[in-house]
Amino acid sequence: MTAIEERTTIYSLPNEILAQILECLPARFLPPLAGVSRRFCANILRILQIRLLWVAALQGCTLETCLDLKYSQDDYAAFDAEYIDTPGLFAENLDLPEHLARLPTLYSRCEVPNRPSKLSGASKASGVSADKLFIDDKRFIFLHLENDAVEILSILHYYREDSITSEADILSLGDNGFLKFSRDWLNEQVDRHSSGTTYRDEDNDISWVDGEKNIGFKFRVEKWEPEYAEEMGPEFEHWVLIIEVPKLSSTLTLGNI
Amino acid sequence: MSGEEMITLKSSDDVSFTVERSVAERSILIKHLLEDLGTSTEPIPIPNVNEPVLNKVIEWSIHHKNDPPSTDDNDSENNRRRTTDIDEWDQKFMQVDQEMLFEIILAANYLDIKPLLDVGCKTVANMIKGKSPEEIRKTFNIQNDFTPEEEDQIRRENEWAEDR
Repeated sequence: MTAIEERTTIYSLPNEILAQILECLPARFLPPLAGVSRRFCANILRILQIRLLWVAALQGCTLETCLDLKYSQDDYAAFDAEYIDTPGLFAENLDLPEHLARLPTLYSRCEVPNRPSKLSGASKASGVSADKLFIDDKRFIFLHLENDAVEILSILHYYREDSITSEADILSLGDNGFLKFSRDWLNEQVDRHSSGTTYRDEDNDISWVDGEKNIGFKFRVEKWEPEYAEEMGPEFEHWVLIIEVPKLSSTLTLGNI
Repeated sequence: MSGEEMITLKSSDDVSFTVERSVAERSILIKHLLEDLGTSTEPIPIPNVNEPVLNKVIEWSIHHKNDPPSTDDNDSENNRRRTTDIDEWDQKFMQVDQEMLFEIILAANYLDIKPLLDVGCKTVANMIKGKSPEEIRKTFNIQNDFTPEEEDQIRRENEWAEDR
C-alpha cells in the first residue's frame, strides 16, 4: 500500500493557531475575510465578537492620553477624547453573531474636544507657552535628540467623567509604554511629508500610543530650530511631532480592537 | 568553546542535532523535560518534527538564545501584541515555502516556543493582510465551501459595510 503524503497547508493548523493568526490583524481587515471559507468565517466572527464587546464597554468613557517626554509634571502634552461610537456597532439592532460580518470599520471614533486637557502643560524646556501647544487642532511635542533615539512615556486612561470618586474609577489600559523615535525615523518622516509621499497602508500615518496598537494618532514630523538651540549645543537636533486633531473625529483611533 | 552542557535532539526521521542546553531550552517542552530528567546524555526524541524543520527551529533558537524568556504575563491572550511587526532577521528567516512555514508553526506550537509561534503567525497574517477572499483562497489553496447563495449574501453584506 502506498501512503499518500499530505502536504502541510494553512488548514493543517489547529483552530487555535488559525485564530491566533487572524487575531494579529486589525479589525478593519477582518470582515471581508469572512468570505474566504466557513472556517475563516467562524473564527473571524468569534474574534470580532470579543473585540466588539470590549469596545461596547467604552461607551460613555473619556479616553485621556498623556505623552510624557521627561517623566516630569512640567513637560508633557495631554489630551482627552470622547468616545463617539464604533461604526456599525450601535447603529444596528445587533443580533450577534449574524450581523457581525456586516460590520465595516471596527475601529472606534473618538472626538477630541477643541480644548486642552485638564492635565495639559507646557514644555518649560522649550520655552513655549501652554497656549501655543494647543493651536487650533494640533498638539506639539518637541523632541531634542542628542543620542540616536528619544523615548516618550505614554499613559492612557479611560474614565467616566460623572462617576469619578476615586482613582479606582479610572481604568488604566495597563499597557502604558514607550514611543521610541529614532533620529533616522524622524528624518524619514520629515522627508516623507515634505515630498508629499502617501502610503496605501494607513497604519503608516498613525503613531500608536500603546503596545497593542489599540490607540493611535495621526501625526507629521518637522525639523525645528528653537531660539535656545545654541545654548543646548550643536550635538542636539530638534524636531517637532505635530499631532493632527481633526475637529470632529477619528484622530484618536482605536484601530486594532 | 563555551563549556555549556550539550543536549542531543533526535528528529522524527532519526537525525541527531547536538546543541547547547540554553538553545534547547528555548523550547519550554524540552526545558521542563530536562528539569525532570536532570542531566541526561540520552538523545531527546522529537517525534513530531522532521530533520529540515528541526534544523530551522534550532537555527532560530541559536539566534534568539539570549532573548529574555517569555512569561505567562506577556504571552497571555489579553496582552499579546496584535500587530504584524516582525524583526528584520525573523522576516528573512521566515522566507521559506508555505509548507515549511506551516511546519515551523506546528513545531513551535508542539515544542512550546511562543516567540517563534508568534513570528510564524504574524508572517501568515502579513500574507493575508489586504488580500481579497479570492486571493487568499488562491494563495493558500483553500476550497470555497460556501454555497453560491451564502457567498452572494456575504458579498452583499460587505458591500453594505463599505457604503457606510
